[in-house]
Amino acid sequence: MTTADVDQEQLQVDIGGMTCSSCAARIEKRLNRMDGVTAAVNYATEQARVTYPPGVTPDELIAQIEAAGYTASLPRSTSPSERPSDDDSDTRSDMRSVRALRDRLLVSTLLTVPVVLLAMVSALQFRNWQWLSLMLAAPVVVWGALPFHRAAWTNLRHAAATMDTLISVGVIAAFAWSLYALFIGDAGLPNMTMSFNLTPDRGGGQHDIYLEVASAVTVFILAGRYFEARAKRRSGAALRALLELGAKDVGVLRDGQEVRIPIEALSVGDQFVARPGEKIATDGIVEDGTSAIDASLLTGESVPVEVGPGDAVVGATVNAGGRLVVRATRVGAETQLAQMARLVTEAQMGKAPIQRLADRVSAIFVPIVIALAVATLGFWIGAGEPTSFAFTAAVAVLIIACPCALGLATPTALLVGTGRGAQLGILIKGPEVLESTQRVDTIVLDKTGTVTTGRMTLVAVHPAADTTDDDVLRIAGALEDASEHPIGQAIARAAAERFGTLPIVTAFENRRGLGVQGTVDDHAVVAGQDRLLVDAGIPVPRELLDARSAAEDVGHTAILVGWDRLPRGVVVVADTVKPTARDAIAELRALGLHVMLLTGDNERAANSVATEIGIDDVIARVLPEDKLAVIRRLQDEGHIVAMVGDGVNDAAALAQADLGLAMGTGTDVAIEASDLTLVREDLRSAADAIRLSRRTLQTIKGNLFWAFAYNIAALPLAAAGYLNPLIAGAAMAFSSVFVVSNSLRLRRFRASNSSRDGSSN
Amino acid sequence: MTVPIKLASFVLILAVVFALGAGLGALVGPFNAQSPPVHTGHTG
Repeated sequence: MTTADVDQEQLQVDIGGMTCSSCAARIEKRLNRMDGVTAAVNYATEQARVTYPPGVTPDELIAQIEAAGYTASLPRSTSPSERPSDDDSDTRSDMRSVRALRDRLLVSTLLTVPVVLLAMVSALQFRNWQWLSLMLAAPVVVWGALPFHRAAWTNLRHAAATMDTLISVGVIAAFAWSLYALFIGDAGLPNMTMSFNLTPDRGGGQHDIYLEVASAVTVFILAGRYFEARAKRRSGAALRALLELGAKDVGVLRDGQEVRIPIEALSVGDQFVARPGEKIATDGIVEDGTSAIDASLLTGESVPVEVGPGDAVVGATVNAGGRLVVRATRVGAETQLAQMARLVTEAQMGKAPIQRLADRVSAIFVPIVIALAVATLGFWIGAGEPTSFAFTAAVAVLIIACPCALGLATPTALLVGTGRGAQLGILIKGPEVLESTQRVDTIVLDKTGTVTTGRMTLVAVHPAADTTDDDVLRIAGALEDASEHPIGQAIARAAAERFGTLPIVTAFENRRGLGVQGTVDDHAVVAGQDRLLVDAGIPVPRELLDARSAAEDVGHTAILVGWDRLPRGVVVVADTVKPTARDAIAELRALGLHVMLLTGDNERAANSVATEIGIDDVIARVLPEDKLAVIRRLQDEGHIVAMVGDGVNDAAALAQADLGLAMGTGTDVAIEASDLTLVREDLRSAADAIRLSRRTLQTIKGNLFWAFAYNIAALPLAAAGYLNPLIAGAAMAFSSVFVVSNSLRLRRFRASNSSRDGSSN
Repeated sequence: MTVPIKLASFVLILAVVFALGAGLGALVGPFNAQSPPVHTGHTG
């Protein structure tokens, strides 16, 4: 995407070949060294956003990236309207790479199983079996482990070590040693069998082969990578979900005739029709008709907005009432929906990736192991042993240092953790998410739909003098029963709960934007705004107006009711706080988090909700587009921020937050932009989600420790020249079994409140 | 640190480690002098 700034150009580049976040940092550094160039490289999305002066060409930028050892290309599509198809190709290439990984895993597994069986079961070791092992293991080591070798090579050129380096070194050492033993040593003799003696045999390397270690390690790590790749979030998914919200085609008025055209063909100035129940095709101004617009999908606000000629409407909102004729003012990339999409991608792009834990450990472990191998070599040469023996010991150090359970440490814990999460209604997107939960110190809750139910309920009835609140509710409820407006439905529901069956309403009329009127029990009833009552010739007394403004001050909605030409009362409805919200806040606090409430309401309304649920930090009057800015500000202040939200307007903030939690009852976009999805409406699952994630991360850390522990314990044996395949195999088996069973312990994780279903199993 | 310097210093450290190992081996070696066993057609 190339957009001209004042004198700077902006460019998005697709980058290939990055293996970890330090690659991203490296490319960034290289680009930033160029005069006037600022670059932000994102490892997760494999893209760079570069701002560069006119003197620099995109080709030069690409050359710089390629010089660093990576591939770079400009995105094929440059027009924002073509983004969806671009995304599809992203998905396809994602799927292709996962499928390629699966094929690699399958072929490697098929080849490895006989190699391991032959090595472990002496009875199967027929004459010259070791040569069959070599034939089977060679493709696994060379082709199966190719991604690791390639990544290790790229890392080496940057003097960096990751998990790939460790795997590659270990696999190559084991394979090279086996080749040596087979061709030069005596392991290639026809009647050779594996020496499975418990007493280690010093310097036995020349007749031992480690082909099963080389292949099994490759398969284990490939399996781990495959599970991770399948769980990896697709960065385009949020965008796709967002763009799918829009209308697909639209009825345009051409010479008074309605013609249906695809949405892409719509241009600014076109007049189009929005029928009841249809989505508004694009941003525009109403020219004819009145209706109520349900913008809940975009704003999370449950009360429809009344619109008439001259009012602005936003694309992708739903026309809940009558037929509207709208003149399009913005189309394609200019619409509010597209702008939100841009915010979401930008937030995802700008998010700092987290280095994999295994890579961080490897970065320290690999140099130590290499140093240890070199020291071993030096020691035995210095001690006057033959060079071949010194090499045996040094290579043995490299072989045993590569833990095969390393590849299982993260995926198994993740599989069990996410599985348990799913039972509890918590969906975790990937391993990176877990790391964030550990560091989060502030949690921002969006009010509507998160803390509140997002549904209107009756709060209070204020009867006028000479009327009872029962009368007001019964008559108003009966009248509103015929209305489809959420406010009317709330009143009708409350009345039906209190009185059972309600009187029948006749001559019902919906006065759009004002309220409703009809006849109930022979009374001519009106309910709605004061203007409707005045129109009906009903004076509205001071006390009722006061009750209404008191309600509106705290963010509630008040409906005036009158019948038989007299004012009868005020019915107050509001989006109510979820019953478990207070407990949830307490649980979040117990996790050491600072809880904040974010809302577009005024301070008084926000504070009344905040006091009810026990939050003292409130950010009120936040426009939907400013939510992102609030999260950024908190991050700039040094906080690690989690955000809980549900609406499309929360999506960018969810993506920006270090940890985004979406309510499952919310929109697809919010869910896609978030890291964790809470399937239940219950806010308490947010606390459970953070606890479960933290527990899963701890398990991963424990796994990593044990993956290394057995191999590290065997390191002195290897350095002393006592390594044999039994020890290598045992270290492999013990650490794998330990890692898997340690991960399985996560199944016993319980939600904090045992009354919730799912927690008892 | 640029990449070549980083690599060079790592190689240097490895050389030092090797030398240290060799020195230690030379110190311990005389008390522990032993040739590796010779294998001829190992049959398990």
